[in-house]
Amino acid sequence: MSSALTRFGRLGLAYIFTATGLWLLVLMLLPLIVTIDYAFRPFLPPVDWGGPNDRYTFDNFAVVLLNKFNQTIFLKTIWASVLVTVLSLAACYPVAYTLAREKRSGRARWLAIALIIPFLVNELLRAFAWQLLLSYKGLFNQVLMSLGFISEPFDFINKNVGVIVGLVYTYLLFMILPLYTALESLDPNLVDAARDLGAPWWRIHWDVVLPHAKPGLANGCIVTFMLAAGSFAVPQLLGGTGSLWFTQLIYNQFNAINWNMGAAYAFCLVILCLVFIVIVMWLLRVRLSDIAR
Amino acid sequence: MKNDLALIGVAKTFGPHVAVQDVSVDIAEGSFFSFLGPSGCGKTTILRMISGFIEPSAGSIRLGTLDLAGIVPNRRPTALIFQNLALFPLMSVAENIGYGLKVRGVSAAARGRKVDEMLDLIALSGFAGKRIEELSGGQRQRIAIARALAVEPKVLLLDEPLSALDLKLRQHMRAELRTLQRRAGITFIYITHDQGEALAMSDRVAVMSKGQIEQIGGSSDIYDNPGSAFVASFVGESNILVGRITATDGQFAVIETAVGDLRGRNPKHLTTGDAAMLFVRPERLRIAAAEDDLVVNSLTGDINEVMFEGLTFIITLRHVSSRLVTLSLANDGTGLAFAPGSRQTVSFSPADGLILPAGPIARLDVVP
Repeated sequence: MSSALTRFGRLGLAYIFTATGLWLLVLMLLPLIVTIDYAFRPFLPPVDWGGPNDRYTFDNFAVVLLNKFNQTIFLKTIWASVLVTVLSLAACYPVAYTLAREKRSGRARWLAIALIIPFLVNELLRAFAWQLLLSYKGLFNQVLMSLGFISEPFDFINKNVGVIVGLVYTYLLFMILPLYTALESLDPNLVDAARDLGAPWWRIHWDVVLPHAKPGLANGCIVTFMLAAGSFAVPQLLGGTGSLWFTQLIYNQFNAINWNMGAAYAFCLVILCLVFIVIVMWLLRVRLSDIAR
Repeated sequence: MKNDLALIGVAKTFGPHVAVQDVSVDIAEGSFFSFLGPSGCGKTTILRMISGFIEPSAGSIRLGTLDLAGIVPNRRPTALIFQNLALFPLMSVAENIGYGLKVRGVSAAARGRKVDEMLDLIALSGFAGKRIEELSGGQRQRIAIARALAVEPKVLLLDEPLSALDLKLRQHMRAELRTLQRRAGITFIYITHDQGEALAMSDRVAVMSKGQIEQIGGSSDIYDNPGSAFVASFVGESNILVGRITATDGQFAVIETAVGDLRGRNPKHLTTGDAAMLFVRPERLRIAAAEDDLVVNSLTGDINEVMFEGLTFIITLRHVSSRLVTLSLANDGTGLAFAPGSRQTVSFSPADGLILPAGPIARLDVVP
């Protein structure tokens, strides 16, 4: 404490504490508290606010959790988000590995720039772009048909391909960057040593590279999973008419002015996602300190 | 023998840069062979070519009758000890040593036996369950060797593995490496820029400079009969005097230097007029009794400066011709004689002076 005081000075220290405190309070705690407060109160017309009926209850949660339709949508959201995470990992791992191993060459720099450029465009616009590409008469269908792979257009959007592809694409960087950071710190001699000892490439990755990258891997997977499960714009634009994302249920409630029910939906999503992540972390033996590293 | 390693006209170029050129050497099975040279002389490239991480641009590498060309590192009968050891930090000692066997599909039981055998060999029994970070530098060294030996390679390649250790441990590890090599009974190929290490451990040494082999020979051969100015200056300490041959007679020649005519051996049969260099080891220089001691090969002057280095004294002598000559002399316990300002005569026997053709010498300030 005293060393921090000499290092940053009284003013600097005050700034650090105020900034951190404000961030925690205004951006994290307050919204969460308000959401929880709303979620546990019934939906009432404004005249009844603070009246005898305005008391804490589990009614909203009963509606959210016991409804069969909601359960299906929730499970589908989780399942699809897992799929998005796995696909994203499969797509990003080779890229991040190449990037990390070629970090000294100019090629890596170009690759990194090529990765970042699409993200200068707004998420919504990118989703629209995918909508055009995947639509009934879009580029993909035209190319596939002209090459003779399919005889009539494939309905990417309603077959949920659109959502998955769109989500993988949208959150690509959130997977690549933590993976890259983890892989970059791997001593290339370890890879050579494993190779010298007779390990084929897949064993080197399984035994040496992946264990080293586990914190970054967990980090990327958790963030991608959370973003995918909590995504709204992409499912809205690239999802089929008949299939909903859980966030769309939340939106519907807020849209119908039932903020209390919406808050309950949102709270359930947060809690269930957290539980899911904790289970996965426990299964993969990833500790919280690994991820923060 | 059937597992002799032969490099035949091996060369490696990286773009316009020639890293190794025309290296040919035979390394007998079961011997301890060193490539010795300054940083950037191509020795590491040679090692990586033998281990298969780099393919030669020209020439071939053979193990007995087997041509190693095109055999990838994970299928070569060689094992490499990395400069930083490259032990797997997330695996235990036993997992590290057993890794090569594990990827070969050896059963856990057989693996365990081999790991125990290896731990016995390196005198670290009971360390199987330890984590790498719990070990000292010397222990890690031995684990790296055990890990490489566990896969029973025909040739063990060592890339300056002692360079990270402190001096005492390094000297201790020399003896240990030599013992391990005898016990393992396989060829060890050792890469180093430390001539002390190379001379102490090796059966034979190849001294390298600028991608080429300057000389191959036994340790004492390299030290006592260096074949070029580079080898004479790189291996061990030497006093170097530059000049020109003025007379020859049989085994000997006279070289005219800035500090007078000096006599020395002439193994390269230089003739009058040739540019030459005279090399004298510090331990072969002695202080003559008096100034008028008119032996051959004497240098007389006033001591200008003295630097004590333990084994040797480095003295700067202002020669009677008023030139400054820096000499290194063995510390024989009479160090008080080197009081600055005192007049001294230093001499050596013609048999201890070696005259070689003038050529590039090893500079101390060579950077990679």
